[in-house]
Amino acid sequence: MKKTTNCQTINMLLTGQYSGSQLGSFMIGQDFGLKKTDIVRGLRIAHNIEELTATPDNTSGAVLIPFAELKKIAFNLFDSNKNEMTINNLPAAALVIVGSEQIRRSFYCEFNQAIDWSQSIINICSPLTALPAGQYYSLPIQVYF
Amino acid sequence: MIIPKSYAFEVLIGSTPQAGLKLNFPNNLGQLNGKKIIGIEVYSADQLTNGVLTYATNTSAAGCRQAVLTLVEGTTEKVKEIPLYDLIPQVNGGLQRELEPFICNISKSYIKLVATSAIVLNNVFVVNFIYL
Repeated sequence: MKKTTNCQTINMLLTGQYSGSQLGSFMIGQDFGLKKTDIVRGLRIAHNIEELTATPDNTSGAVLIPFAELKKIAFNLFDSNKNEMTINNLPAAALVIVGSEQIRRSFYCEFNQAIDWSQSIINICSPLTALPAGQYYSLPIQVYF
Repeated sequence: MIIPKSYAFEVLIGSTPQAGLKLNFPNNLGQLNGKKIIGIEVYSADQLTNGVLTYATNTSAAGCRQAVLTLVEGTTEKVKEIPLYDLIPQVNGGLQRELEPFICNISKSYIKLVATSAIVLNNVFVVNFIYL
């Protein structure tokens, strides 16, 4: 595994459109300031109890998404260099490494491709537990280059 | 294992569960036709609560202990009757089962039930192919 050269944490805010009874596939629609042609070597989501107990985003009032809600989410990731949706229906829980829900015996879930987050998709497979009006779930993802 | 491409799909428990029942993989996975499979994973409800395509309830880890998986290449059962539970990364040290690259005859591949106490009609199994 290569040494980490750069890690950016992107923070998806799962707004009201993903809460309540909403199911379906939604385009993420933003690039989080990352270049869509940079090669991503790995992705990792911190476990909300074992690793990170609150969101790094302290401006939106968002609640760090618990693992029980994370299990309801899967991702389709778009590779802009190949112009193809290369990763399909990958459970978000598969990006959680440590804790009682340890999934992979590696530092992160390994890739070697560009990711265009604006054309990637988040799949809500089961309704997220509704939050009070105006409150969101925060889903921070570590992106390793 | 570096994931070049992956596709997770559902295998529906579409008939009354009984030991010996074969559940064929779906025949509408055009994206995987002709592609070389290099790895496989299974996700239980402990990782993904519902299938992504139909949102049907995913099978529990206990249910995954009651099924085996067979992959067919051409007409040959190349990977035969691996316990589904063994393919869940969480329960085998985070390892993905790596395969010598081959083109899978997807519609002929299947999951077979060996017991049924934790199997529920109209639930799904979620299988993830890693491919080139």
